[in-house]
Amino acid sequence: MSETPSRSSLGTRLLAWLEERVDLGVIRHLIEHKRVPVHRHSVWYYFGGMALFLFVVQILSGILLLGYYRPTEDGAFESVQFIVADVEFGWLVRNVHSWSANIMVGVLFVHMFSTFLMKAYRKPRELTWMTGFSLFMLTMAFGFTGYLLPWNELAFFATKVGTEIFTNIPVVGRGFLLVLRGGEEVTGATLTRLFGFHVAILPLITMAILFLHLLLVQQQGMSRPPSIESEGDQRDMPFVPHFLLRDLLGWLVILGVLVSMAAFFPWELGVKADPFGPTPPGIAPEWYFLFAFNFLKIVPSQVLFFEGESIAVGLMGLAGAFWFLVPLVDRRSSRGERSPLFTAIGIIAIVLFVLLTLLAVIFPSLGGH
Amino acid sequence: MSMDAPQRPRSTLRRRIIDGVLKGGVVALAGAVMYPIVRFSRPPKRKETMDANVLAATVGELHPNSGKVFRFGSRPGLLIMTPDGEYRAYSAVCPHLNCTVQYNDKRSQIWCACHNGYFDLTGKVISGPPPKGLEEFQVVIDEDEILVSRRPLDA
Amino acid sequence: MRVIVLFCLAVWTSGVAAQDVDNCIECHAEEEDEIGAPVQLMLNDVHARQGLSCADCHGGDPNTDDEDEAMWDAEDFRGAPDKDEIPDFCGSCHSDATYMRQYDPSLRVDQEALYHVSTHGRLLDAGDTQVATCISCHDAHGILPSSDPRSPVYPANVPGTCGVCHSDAEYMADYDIPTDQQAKYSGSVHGRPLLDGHDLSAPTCNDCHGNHGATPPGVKSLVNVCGQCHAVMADFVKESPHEIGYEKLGIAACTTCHSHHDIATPSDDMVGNNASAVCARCHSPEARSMTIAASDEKVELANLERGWQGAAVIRTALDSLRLMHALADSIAREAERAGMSVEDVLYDINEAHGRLTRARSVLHSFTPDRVLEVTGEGMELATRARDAGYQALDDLDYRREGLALSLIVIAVLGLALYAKIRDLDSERNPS
Repeated sequence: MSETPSRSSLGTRLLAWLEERVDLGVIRHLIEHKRVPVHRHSVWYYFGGMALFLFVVQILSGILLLGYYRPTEDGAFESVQFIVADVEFGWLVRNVHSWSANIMVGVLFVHMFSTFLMKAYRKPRELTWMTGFSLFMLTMAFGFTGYLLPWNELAFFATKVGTEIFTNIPVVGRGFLLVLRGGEEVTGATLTRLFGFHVAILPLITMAILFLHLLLVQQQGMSRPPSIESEGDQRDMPFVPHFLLRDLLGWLVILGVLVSMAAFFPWELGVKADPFGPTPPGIAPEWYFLFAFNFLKIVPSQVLFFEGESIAVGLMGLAGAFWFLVPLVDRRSSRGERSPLFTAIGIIAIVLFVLLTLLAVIFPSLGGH
Repeated sequence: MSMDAPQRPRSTLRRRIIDGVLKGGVVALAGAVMYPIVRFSRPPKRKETMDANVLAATVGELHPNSGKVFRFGSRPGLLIMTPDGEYRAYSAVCPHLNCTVQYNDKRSQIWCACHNGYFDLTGKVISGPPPKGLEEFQVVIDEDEILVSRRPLDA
Repeated sequence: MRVIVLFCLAVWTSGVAAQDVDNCIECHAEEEDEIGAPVQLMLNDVHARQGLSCADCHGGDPNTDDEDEAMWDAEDFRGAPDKDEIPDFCGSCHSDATYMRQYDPSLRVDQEALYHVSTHGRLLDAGDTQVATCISCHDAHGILPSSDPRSPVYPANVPGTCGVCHSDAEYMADYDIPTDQQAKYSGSVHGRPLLDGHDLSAPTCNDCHGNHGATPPGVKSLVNVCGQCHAVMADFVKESPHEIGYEKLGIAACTTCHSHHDIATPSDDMVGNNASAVCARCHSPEARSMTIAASDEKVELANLERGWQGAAVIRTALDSLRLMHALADSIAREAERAGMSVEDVLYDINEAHGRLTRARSVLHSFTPDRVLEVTGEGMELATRARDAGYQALDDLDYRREGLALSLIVIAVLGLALYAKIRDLDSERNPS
């Protein structure tokens, strides 16, 4: 005990002061006891934390952008232009925000599909899955609302087309549309509303559900896939420091990727939206909505005596509900048995998603209606 | 234990180096992240372009029946004071071949020197090759500043 | 068909001729060929719309159906006029201001007078019945106002109307003039906007040659004719050293370089001291002696030589400015695409281009110093813009350097982290 380096004693002293007043038991337990399974599929465990890191990057870069962004029809485009061209490192902050958003959605798709295939949703983790899927939908909402904010031509028309989908939901659809758009058409009022969603409403809801999601994960620990469990492989590693350091390494790499993308592949601003102008060709939503957008395109306009689009929206709604409730539907997994049917469903879902997203690339002749 | 003894000095040095690089790296990273954030947060020098308003002139700079070319974004604008003392502002880009127009006080009209286009003081073409008139801007007088901006869409 | 025509005419005349039957129409509608054709044509006629009937021009009595009473024996019957009587026939109303005022006060009443001093009119008065008269362009029956796109004298239709004779080599064989004007005009910088683009502000035959007083513009008056629209160029030319040169050579100003019917879009290539420039036609070393001879020795060699040098100076000035502008523009666009702010730069670039446009007008003064004054301003602006553009691109490089630096930090930290992970793992599993 002759050697007591001054640095650690300050930290230890602060910690001791705190623990006399606050019960840090949960955190202590986490640090000292949480363990993460190690097996041939454990690489997928990193994707949740990656999404969390990117979410933090979004919050930070978003707050910085708030310092200059103006959510009005005659200020939005100009303010983003100002940020990118005149504010020091504005290009960096804006491009990091845009790239991080897209990469986060990609990471979330991987996280969602991998937990699905590993049946992590099975008992007792049903709520973790449901909160997770909700977070996924919230992230899509973040993407949709954020896309309009620069008020450029492509975003304006993509929003117009995107909100038009609501007309196909019976009864409540039109009401949603009016609330979302702040009127009949997409206008400056829409911009202000979606801005409010993007920076206030969605963050609040997301934080709350995220807190639940993380709480559940900490309480219940990480799930092992049924195949690993049946093999009896019980290897694991301590969360702190082994897993966490690996997490940090991954986050470091992603950070490098983000700033490189910002410098080499900056996002174009395009031209300012003109609500009275003609629709430019090639309007499409962001890539993560393409699967839904293309699905709507390929459903014929008339199916029996129903309008094609209503059928399509209905089908998507059913699929979403199924996906959300899968922990309750997959009885075999909840009993701890192997469930090859749902593995197949998962793989089909992935294949369909990829095919629908790349529809325009695979079948260039398919037009819309 | 005896197996560890020869490894120990090397592993301690290695550990110290790695730990040192880690700590230094974290500090460097923190600096590399904070530096742009701090610079970003400082308001940049150029402010005018963000404003839709441009300071075209000060009160008293123009006398009746005169005009002044000023910068409006990346194109020129023309601020005139009519013989009656009214301020008007137009885009100074001639709709014919984009030359910069000027005020002609002998005729109290706006003139394009390139191909002899003439516009009256409401911006309308009255003679020469321009196919249409000059785009009118909005003029607002704020104390002693004459501010010019684009006209709102519903004007 | 005739029944329908008769029915329509009956309806028409019933509103017009106050319940009186117009026997001219009644009888002529039953006829074939040239006797009967005018009836149908008059359905769409500006005279008919004003309530004028056959008798108002041709005389005779429309109230009787007896041929002799209606025509041959009628006192004021004029019938179809002979070709040389036509100007007078139409002019009997159209030159009478008091009469015309009742129908359209804004119509001119000098057409007949103008016609008699035109080339067509003078030839007709000398006995040539091949030339155009009123009805050649306006038709006799079924006349439509020039504002009606179906009218032969609607601006876009005028070249075709003139071309009926003037493009017919056989018809024009007796006259010593070319017959390719319409063809040349159709491809010209005046013809294409009018004929293809429906741009009525482009000139057609009558805008340069005159309407009823049509005569090709004389050598001395050509600059004024072109100067109606191209006023700035005309002024420059009149002040230029070329003015005296044209006089000495007895040639017209504008058309010497720009041609007349097949005027092409001008380009900077027209100026210069190379063989393909228009300047070479008089000023080149090979052409000089011919030029001097053509002027009966009035043109001086020294002037020709000086002009040849001057052409080179002007061309170089234009080229330099054009190239510098293009360079500055491309640099600015590149910087803009990369997200840099280039508003200042674009302003200067646009101003520089304005100087280039102005220089192309000023060159018609054929005074290199005046051109250089304008291009000098332009060069200053463009050069400044180019330098600012390079500056913006340099800033871009600075970004990439900053990025490289931060990537190094990340890489170093990453490697240390990786090493740490390896160490921790080996501690956990000493095997």
